Amino acid sequence: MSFYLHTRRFKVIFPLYVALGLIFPVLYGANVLQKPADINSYTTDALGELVFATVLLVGLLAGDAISQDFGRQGFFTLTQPVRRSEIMLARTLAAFTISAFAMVVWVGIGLVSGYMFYTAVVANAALILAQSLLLVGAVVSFVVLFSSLFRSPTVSVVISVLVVWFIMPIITGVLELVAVEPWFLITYAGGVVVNLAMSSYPAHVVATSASGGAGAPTITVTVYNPYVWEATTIMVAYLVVSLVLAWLVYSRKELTEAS
Amino acid sequence: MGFLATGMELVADGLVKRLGSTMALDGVSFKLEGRGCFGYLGPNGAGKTTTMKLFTNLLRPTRGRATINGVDVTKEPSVALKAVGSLVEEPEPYQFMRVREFMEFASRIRERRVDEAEMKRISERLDLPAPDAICSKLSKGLKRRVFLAALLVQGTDILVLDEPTAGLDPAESVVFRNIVLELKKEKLIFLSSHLLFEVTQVCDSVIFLKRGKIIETGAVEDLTRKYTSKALRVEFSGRVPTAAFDTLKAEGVVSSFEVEGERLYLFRFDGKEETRKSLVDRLYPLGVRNIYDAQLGLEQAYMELMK
Repeated sequence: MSFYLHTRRFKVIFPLYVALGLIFPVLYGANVLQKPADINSYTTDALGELVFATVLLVGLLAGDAISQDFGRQGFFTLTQPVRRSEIMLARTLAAFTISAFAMVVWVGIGLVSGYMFYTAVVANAALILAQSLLLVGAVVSFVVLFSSLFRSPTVSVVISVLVVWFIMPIITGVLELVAVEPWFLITYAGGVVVNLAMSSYPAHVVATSASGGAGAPTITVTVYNPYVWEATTIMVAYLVVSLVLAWLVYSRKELTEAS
Repeated sequence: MGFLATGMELVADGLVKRLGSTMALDGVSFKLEGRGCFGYLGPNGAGKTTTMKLFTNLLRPTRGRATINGVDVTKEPSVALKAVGSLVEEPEPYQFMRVREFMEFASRIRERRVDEAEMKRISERLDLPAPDAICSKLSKGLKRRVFLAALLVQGTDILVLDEPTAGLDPAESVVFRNIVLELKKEKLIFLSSHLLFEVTQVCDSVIFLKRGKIIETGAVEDLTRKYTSKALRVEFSGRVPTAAFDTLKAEGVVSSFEVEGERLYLFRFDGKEETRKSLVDRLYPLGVRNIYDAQLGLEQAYMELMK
């Protein structure tokens, strides 16, 4: 874990991440924005960007968790009498711990500032925290899988971020237009964190139609909100399947040449 | 090959390794046992590093087995590698780790506690950089020394060293060779090198590898004798017309001859005793001042084997 604390990446990303988490509390606190009517709306705003920010944070921090072993560092690490499964688990736990720490800071800011403004905490605070931690675990595992596939740490970081930050949201957007539930996307499951902060959990399917006027075609956007059990299942599946696949790749990979 | 059996054993059992379309190792078998230094010689691409990687779990054999003290490296790497410290290719220390931290980490992995005095002794001996220097910022040579220090603090019975003096300056290479000479009294050292003089100085036995196959093995002394006996260096008391030597070559007594000085010649022959006698009988009438076995040692062996 000290590896992550020492990286320039962490030193740059962590303050930015916290700054993002502080935007709404500070704007509301300074009365730049009018405070929402209730604690639920406030918390929803405060946690609004949590999923995407966390996904980016994890991608940047853990994107090279395994691939670093397929560079010259591996000539030391992999020749030691330590099981690769243990190395992988240690790296995953370190990435999870540091990412979870950052995420807890963000959620903490949202909950504590909410209490300061409303002297109340959202009813689902504990569940929000638990789902957030599960989300971090799932994303870390998914990123570790990418990290085991690529020899170059830089490539694995970039690919991880591209997949979870760009490709998945694009797929979600396309599926909203064709009314298909994106049940296989971790970013879809992550939506549960914000949904839990709402005063009433949103409906599973929300279809909105828009027309450009008379004679213009009508566009229907179908937004899916994951059930809590569904989101939990998706995240657990990501966590388990990714780790198993990462282990299969990592345990069989050879160090033919260092990148 | 080997000396006193002490439970230190490296066995290559029909090792085959295919890397893409290249057959990097083609049925390599050997057994190294007991204390001593075993050299692994061969030109680039012969399969030396591939073998070292198979013994350190960086590669998996296509066929065959690499075992350490009877334990299969591929099947039980964490058990097999307990006995082995290795320096393969150019490892990179962990980012941000300091020299002292790295050495302590290396010893902790082996569940070994290194006391202050030993740490100081190793640091002084290898002239290590300051303990708080950050490893990843060190020069190539200094990093190499830090890894050698890590090997020493790990204190394993077997050392696998792949061209260990690569990147070291001449003074560092001498220090390293002296360390190997000392360590081989109590450890099994498997060392690959391009440097024949290095192997001659530190190794007891040698394996020659060519295109993934073993082509010769033996004790350094035996090989030196074997290949040395195939050449005679002769100093004549006066000038001798080379036409006389052309005749020897035409008759098949010598395979070749080289002019090494005004009156100094090197004659290569098949190494048979009767040929040697015949050659000496033919040369003496030409006015020989000195005649002796050419001391070409392993270099000669290497050149002949790699033809």
